[in-house]
Amino acid sequence: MALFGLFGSKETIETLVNDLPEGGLTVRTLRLLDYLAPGEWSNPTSFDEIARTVTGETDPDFLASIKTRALSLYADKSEGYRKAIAIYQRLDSTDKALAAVAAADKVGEKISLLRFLDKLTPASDTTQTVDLALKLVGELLAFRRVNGIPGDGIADFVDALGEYAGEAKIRMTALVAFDGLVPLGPDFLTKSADAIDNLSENGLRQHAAFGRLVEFMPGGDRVSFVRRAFGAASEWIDGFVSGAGLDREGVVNRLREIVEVADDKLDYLAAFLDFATRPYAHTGTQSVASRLLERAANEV
Amino acid sequence: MILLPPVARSLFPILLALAVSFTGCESGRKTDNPFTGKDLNQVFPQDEGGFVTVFTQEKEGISQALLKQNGAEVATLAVSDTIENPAARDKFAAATETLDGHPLASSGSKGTAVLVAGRFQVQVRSRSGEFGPDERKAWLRRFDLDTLAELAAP
Repeated sequence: MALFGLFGSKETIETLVNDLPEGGLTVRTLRLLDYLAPGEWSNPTSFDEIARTVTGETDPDFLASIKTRALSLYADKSEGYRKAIAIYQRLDSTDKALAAVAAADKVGEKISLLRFLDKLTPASDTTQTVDLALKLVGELLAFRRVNGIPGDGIADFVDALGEYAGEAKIRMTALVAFDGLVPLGPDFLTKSADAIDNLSENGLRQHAAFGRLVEFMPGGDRVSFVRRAFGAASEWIDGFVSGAGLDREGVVNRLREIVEVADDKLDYLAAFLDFATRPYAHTGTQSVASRLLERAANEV
Repeated sequence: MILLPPVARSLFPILLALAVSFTGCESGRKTDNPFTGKDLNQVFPQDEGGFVTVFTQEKEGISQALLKQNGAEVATLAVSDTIENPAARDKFAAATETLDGHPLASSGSKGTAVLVAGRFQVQVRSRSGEFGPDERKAWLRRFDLDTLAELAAP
């Protein structure tokens, strides 16, 4: 299992990918979303496999030169890929005790949420809505670091959302399903928009997720940045939800294949997923590795 | 002849080096710094006939885009500055083909590249089976290679 350092600084991108689990709770929950993005995500856990897939090359010597270049680019802090990994890692608010459950999770074994009720504190709707917006902002911040496109990146990010595929698409699906629909219901977008419209700078600073991301944000009015980013992406999210036929009942029914949960405990289910799974670090690592290898292939 | 006091004489080499560096700044970019993605963007092909370029990475030393045909990804286009990655030029050393006067080389089985002004690598890599070597060469020609060569001029 990957040991994510604060900035991923102790591992190369190769080890980060190669240490990704092939199974476990994070992978099982993400695979549940396959019906919304069929065949999009294969969970690559080998850096060499990603290199072959994104480049279409098979010659070992050529692939070795691409890999060498990719590792060099990752090691260079000024390139931004390490910060992108750090951002993705910070989007997962994993609790160690619950993460241990995830590590011990066995295929086919259902988890009873009753065992964890005393360890879980569901977030209030207000906190949950702002956290959803901040996770979206986190995705934008990582996108900016990987792509390097100048400015605040909001317009380019929204354009790119429509092109998201593979691990990026399953990550955004998880954001909408697990951080939006499950805890907040079908009106999650409206609730989030209302919360953000009423947000002050002080209010924003009280959110733990903001504290984890602020150093990566552009300077100036952070509330305005969060509002603009969320507002711009909302149209895509709305279209994605309706286009995919995404609803809370469908997601919860599938989650019930893994977790036993009562209808009146869905907020605990959302909290459990938040603290026991690492969808952003897991798929974010795959995204950064893919973009690195694509670039390296164009440079060797 | 001006005789400098001992302190000034010991500082003279430092002052001279600073004077030279300031002069270099005033005359413009130092040619050993990589060009930015924004500099390199300007030489990419224009959208036409169902083909659209979508920039995916724009950093110091590289600009990279997806080429789409009627919405489907068919290739990647990239211009990279090899000033800090000179090994990328090695494959052009033995090149027997040229494209508009620039050495042409294969990059793996899916890529075709030219080296412009001994410095900039322009590469097209196929992402679709229908987009082969002939298409890659045709798209290499659509870059503004003359403007790219001018960037490298001192």
